[in-house]
Amino acid sequence: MSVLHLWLGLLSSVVIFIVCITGSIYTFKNKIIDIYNYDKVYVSAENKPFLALDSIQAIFKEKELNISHVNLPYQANKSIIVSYESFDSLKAGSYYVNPYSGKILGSGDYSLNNFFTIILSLHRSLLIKNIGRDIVGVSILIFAFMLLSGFVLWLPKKWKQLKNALKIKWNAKFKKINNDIHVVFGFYFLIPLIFIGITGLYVSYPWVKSGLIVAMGGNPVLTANADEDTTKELSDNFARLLAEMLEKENEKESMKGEPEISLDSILNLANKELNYKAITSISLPNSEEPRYVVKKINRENWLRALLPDVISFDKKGNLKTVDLFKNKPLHKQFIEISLPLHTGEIMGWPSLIFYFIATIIGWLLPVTGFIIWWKKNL
Amino acid sequence: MKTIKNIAVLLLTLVVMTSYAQEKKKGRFSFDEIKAELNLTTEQTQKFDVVIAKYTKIREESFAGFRESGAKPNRSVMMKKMQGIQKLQNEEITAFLTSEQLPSYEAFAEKMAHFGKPGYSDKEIQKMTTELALDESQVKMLNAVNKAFEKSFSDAHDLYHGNAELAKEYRTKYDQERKNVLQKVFNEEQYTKYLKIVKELDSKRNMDRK
Repeated sequence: MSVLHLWLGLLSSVVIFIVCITGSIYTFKNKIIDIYNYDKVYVSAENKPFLALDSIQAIFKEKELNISHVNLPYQANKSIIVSYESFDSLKAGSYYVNPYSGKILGSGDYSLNNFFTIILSLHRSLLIKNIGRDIVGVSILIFAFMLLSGFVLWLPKKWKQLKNALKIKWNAKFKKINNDIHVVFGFYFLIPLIFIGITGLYVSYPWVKSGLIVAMGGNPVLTANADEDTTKELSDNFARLLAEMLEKENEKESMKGEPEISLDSILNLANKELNYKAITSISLPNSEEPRYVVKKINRENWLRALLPDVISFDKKGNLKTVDLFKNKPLHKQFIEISLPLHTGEIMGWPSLIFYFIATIIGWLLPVTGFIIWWKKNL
Repeated sequence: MKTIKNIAVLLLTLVVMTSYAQEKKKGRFSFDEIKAELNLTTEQTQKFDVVIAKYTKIREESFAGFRESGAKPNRSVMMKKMQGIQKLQNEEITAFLTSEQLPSYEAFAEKMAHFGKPGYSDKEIQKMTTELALDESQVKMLNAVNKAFEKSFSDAHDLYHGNAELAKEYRTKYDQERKNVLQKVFNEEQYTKYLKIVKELDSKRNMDRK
């Protein structure tokens, strides 16, 4: 076991190091971009309700801009993001808007996106297309084995050794501290790192995806040899969507020229249906989509996890669809939140910080492991 | 130790540099390539760069608007928004191109339009409507079934994400569903013509992908 742990570790260490370090940076992408645009993203919280959306819409109309999408924050000190299109359809974009005064604060600077795109490519595929994903995937599998074999190697032979196996002797020599960091932190972060690794493998490998989905009660992903249940589920899904699309096509015709219900009315209707405070986004009807689509990120659960609920209304405000996260089967819930589960965004700041620490441990493991091997071979 | 460190740094740098070069080379469409192909004048090049920079910023702003909610964006709503932005970008670019340059850019724009839009484009639906002489209810059904195809494929994104083979399986399955519905909507002659048109479209798309 220890020989396998050593050589597989040395083999995958560079990849694991890169994947973990890029993961720990990418975890904070949205927060870093928010801070980069601080004067637009954040406003002074005021002790009064947000300005009516209809008033904000009127401000945009004065500038000959139609609102296409609105993002309302959860916090009192954040701006509203408003996406727009000009009346003549020659201009489009998004502005940050002060939620209390309706003042347009300007558009964000997203030049850091290029940096994060490279970080993400490094994380997913080491910037090597196709084969890069496989190298990362195999290395993560090895990493999972390393964590488990490391756990077996960590297990103290006697109960009285357990106490020492759970703490780091910070006043010892470097060699001992390095060894403790590898062993003790490896134990404490065993489960979080395996979880992050598996949710990452879920993206890379269909068999992991199928395995997890089937384990949660769903059908496996579609392959050439898919069973009848899998293909039937897809056919039923297609038939359901076709019926919905036909209804929308009819709606487009029947409601042509009808005045649209106001944005505030839609928000009120949505809040009645989804009665909790949350980050809320509203997509307005357009030539393609005849409905208002409202998405609220529900945090009213014991983990304070960000779980999306989506509802839609026609132009007159009649409720058309309700798609609640809690009503979805387990495998669909998992599919829905697999990405924030992997990135750590699922519970906001607390999970982001926890994942950040976990990924730091993740890249410390191959480093400290390499040092252990190197010191032994001096 | 120093030697090991130097070798490791050198290897890592080489891997990153070569692979990044590969990544850039294998991009699905490149504005630099189309710029070279169009043989733009200095003045046109300046205008082209201004338009691309403008719409890159608009795209980034729009993505931010969708991603702010802390959960995954609604992919089909976002793709529709991106297609709208692409259309505006094309209008601004074609305004300063000559009639000789236009066909090359239009071909590029069509290739770009297919990226992220798995269904038939408006232009392709128009072509089917004319060539198959579809009546109003058939056009409505064609639009609805095409949107059902796009939404189904888009909703399955989490299942095939990052795996071209899996994506192909889902595309083929939903395409068959689309054809099954249209076979009932079209008469025999229309359906035969439709199959001929989509065969041409598919081979063109496959060429574009290569």
